[in-house]
Amino acid sequence: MLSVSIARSVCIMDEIISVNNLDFAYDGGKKVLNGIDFKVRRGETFGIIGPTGAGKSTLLFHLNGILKGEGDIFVDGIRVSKKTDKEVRSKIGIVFQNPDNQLFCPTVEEDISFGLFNMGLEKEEVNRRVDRILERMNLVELKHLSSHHLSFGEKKRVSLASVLVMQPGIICFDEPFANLDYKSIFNLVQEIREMDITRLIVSQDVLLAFYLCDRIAVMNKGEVVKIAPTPDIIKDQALLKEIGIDYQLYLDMINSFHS
Amino acid sequence: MKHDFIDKYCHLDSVLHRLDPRTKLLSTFLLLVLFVASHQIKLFLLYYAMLAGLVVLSKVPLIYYLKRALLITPFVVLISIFMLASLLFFPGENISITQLTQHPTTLKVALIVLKSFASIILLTLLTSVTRFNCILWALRKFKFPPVITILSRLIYTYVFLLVDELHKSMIAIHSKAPVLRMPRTKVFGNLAASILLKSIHRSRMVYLAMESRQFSGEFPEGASNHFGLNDVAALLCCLLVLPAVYVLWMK
Repeated sequence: MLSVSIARSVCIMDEIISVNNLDFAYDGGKKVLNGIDFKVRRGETFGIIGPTGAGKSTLLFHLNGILKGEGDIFVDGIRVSKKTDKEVRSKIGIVFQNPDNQLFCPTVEEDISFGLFNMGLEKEEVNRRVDRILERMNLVELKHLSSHHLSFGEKKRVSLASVLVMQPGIICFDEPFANLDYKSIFNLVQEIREMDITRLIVSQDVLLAFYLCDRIAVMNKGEVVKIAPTPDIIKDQALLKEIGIDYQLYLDMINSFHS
Repeated sequence: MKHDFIDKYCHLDSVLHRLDPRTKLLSTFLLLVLFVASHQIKLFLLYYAMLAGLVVLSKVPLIYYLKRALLITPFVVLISIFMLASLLFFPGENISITQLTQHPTTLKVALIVLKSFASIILLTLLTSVTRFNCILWALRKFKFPPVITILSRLIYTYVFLLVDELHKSMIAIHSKAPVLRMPRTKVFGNLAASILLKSIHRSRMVYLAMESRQFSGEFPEGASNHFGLNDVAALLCCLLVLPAVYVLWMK
């Protein structure tokens, strides 16, 4: 009995995100999320894939409480609610799809330090962390530039730096590879693989999701239709085809063009 | 996408750029009061000489100041015309154009023109050597109501979104219709509406991004400003020297 209880508590400890029966609708409209249930294990790379309008990004915004639906979400054992917003947001960072929406300060340095000052850190600590992340992500030269003057790839890296600098235990990426050139995608993939924290990737790019993720949840029309280890999802061609994210279609198109 | 309409020259390095924002804000306020309180044209010789010195020190191109001064020119010209015209056509007085040059109202008009341009140059100087968020920081230090500084900061953030959306929409219009054959009012009416809707959506996303980085309604101070010897010197200049000169000239 004791061993069962220990095993259960270890299992619960192992889950860093737990979403239970989550429903959400924008301003009383049609349900965007419908009875979402899934769990993310500590340290894993978890993918959420699905077609446009499946509710992937909306789900992501629930994880740190910036959108609030019905149902329970636990992040590192803390129930996400208005009272725990601050604590939850220090544990989970979100990198937005469009970096223009994430960068709003006059300079790169101020954008990166924004979250740190909000966390109540001292100026010296903020400067130390900012300098370290700028160096790590090769952004030192951009430090004093305005975010509005950067290229899309640079903006993406700055927005990632602005989240990483807060040292969250979980990092969520909303369509991280959208609008990036192959070199930037390669660099970002390397960056994500080198992180030793829990990663949650929302992407329509199924091939990159397959490459990066340990487990994947497939979403369609506001529901999670399947959660499984990546190899099992890859094998389930029928499901991918049914919901319109079949990468085989893409490969066939390229093959037919060249044949 | 490049936006240069705010903080365009704030990256320059000059004595004025290095001053603490509080010093610059307080000095600007004192000088503005001085300008408004002055009623002698000869005093403005001193003020303009001082402004010229500051403009040179700021390292900001002169053309930038002239462009900013142009913005208020229509208003100044209109006021001057109305004042002078009311004098010429006032039924109680019979003044010829030659007498107009010696009339007290003409002096008033000249003072208005001088004060307006001196003020706009001074304000341009302040905004070109101080980042907007540093000005807000200084205002917060002077215990300005947070609602004003926070709203200004939000507007500052969102104004970039508006301009960005405007640029994108203009590109879309020009690519779809190199020559506009539709009524301009209709096109620009639609443009204004779509920009408003898009920028509302984007400002909401920006706010979500701010919230996700623990924004709780108040912008962090962040700015690392130090009140140094230069600041003391600059403030002494404003607090002692200029009023002293003013009193001497008044005598």
